[in-house]
Amino acid sequence: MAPEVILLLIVWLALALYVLLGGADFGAGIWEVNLAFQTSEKERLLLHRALGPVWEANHVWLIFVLVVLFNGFPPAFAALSRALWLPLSLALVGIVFRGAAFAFRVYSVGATRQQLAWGVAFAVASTMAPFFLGAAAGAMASGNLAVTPDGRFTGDYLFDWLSPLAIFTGFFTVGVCAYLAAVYLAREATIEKERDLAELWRQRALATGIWMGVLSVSGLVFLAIESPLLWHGFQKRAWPLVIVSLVTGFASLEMLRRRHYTTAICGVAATVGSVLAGWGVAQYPALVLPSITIYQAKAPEPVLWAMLGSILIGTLILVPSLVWLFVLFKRPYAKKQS
Amino acid sequence: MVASGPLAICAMQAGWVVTEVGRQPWIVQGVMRTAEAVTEVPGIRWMFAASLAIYALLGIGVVVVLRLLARVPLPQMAETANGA
Repeated sequence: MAPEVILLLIVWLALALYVLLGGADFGAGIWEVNLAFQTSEKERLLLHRALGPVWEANHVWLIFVLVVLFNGFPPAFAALSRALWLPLSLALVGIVFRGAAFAFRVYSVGATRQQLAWGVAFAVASTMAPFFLGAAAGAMASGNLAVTPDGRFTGDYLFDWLSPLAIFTGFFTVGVCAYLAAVYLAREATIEKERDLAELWRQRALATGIWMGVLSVSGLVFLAIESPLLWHGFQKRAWPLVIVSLVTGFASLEMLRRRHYTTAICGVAATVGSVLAGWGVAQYPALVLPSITIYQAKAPEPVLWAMLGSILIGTLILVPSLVWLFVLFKRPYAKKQS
Repeated sequence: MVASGPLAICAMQAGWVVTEVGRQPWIVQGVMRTAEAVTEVPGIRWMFAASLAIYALLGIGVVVVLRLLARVPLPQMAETANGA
């Protein structure tokens, strides 16, 4: 297999992991908006405990995607940086404030008003980051960015990214994050034997999940209208993945209804994975629609092989450490309760 | 002892400034000048101002939280708060 294709697969895989793990972190922050209005102390504690240990580790996947794009497909990285500078900067502001607000809130114990203010900042930033990341993805998917194969951007720097599809994907991403978080939290509450909290999060997950199902169908309509290139790819090649995502989406809702939370999480992961895979297959071999393909954008082959080698070695170190991190931080609570 | 904390930060920042200023006008030594590398997105001034504002806000946040901690230290945090 050509090295650029392997790298492309790795990029999509890392992106999927970022959505599944980082998205759930954003989602827990999004739910805090809701917690500000009606909440019990118990509920707040579960949320904070779930977030606490691994809440920034997941950004490793975003950094990974950016570095691989930067090194492996420089013109595509250049074009996206130029065309999407505004939504990506706003997402970065969200990520920075989210981290800062979380830390400040933890340490401003005793000052209730300050803690409340940082809590609000945390919730707003947690919503802002996935919204603008999603909007950037939507702008990419629309195929309307005036990028050239050598990485230039000839469009309008302020408003070209802003299309109905981008706004839709922004909200859609926020919804996906909220859904992921609700499903994960239902599972965590069950493990901690907090029956009532598990029921609460199950209801929230079901409600969000049904909305996401409706939204994703209307998303296909948006895509058909606004992005003929991608739509064509979906019709020609990627339609089986759309079906997979629909089936696994419904399956995850049914598993939620039956309170099989771990299976539900696998279903959600399959849904998110197949949506992203569908996008990737539909636009292949383009990297940035309409004009940048992986063949035009790839770095010289020795660079690609060296990258693949170092990614392999890095994975051997990174994956066990991440697994260990999760095991360490998720174990004590489960043990204490059971 | 008390001064060594802030001084360490000063030393780090100074080293950073030396490398960054010292390699001008190149951004990649001998290959690409900084002026060639800079983005053509208009309004860099505004981005700069926005970054300054964000970091000023975060800086204020740090000071407020540290002052709070100095007044009511968490058991294991007492030293950190006094050092700053």
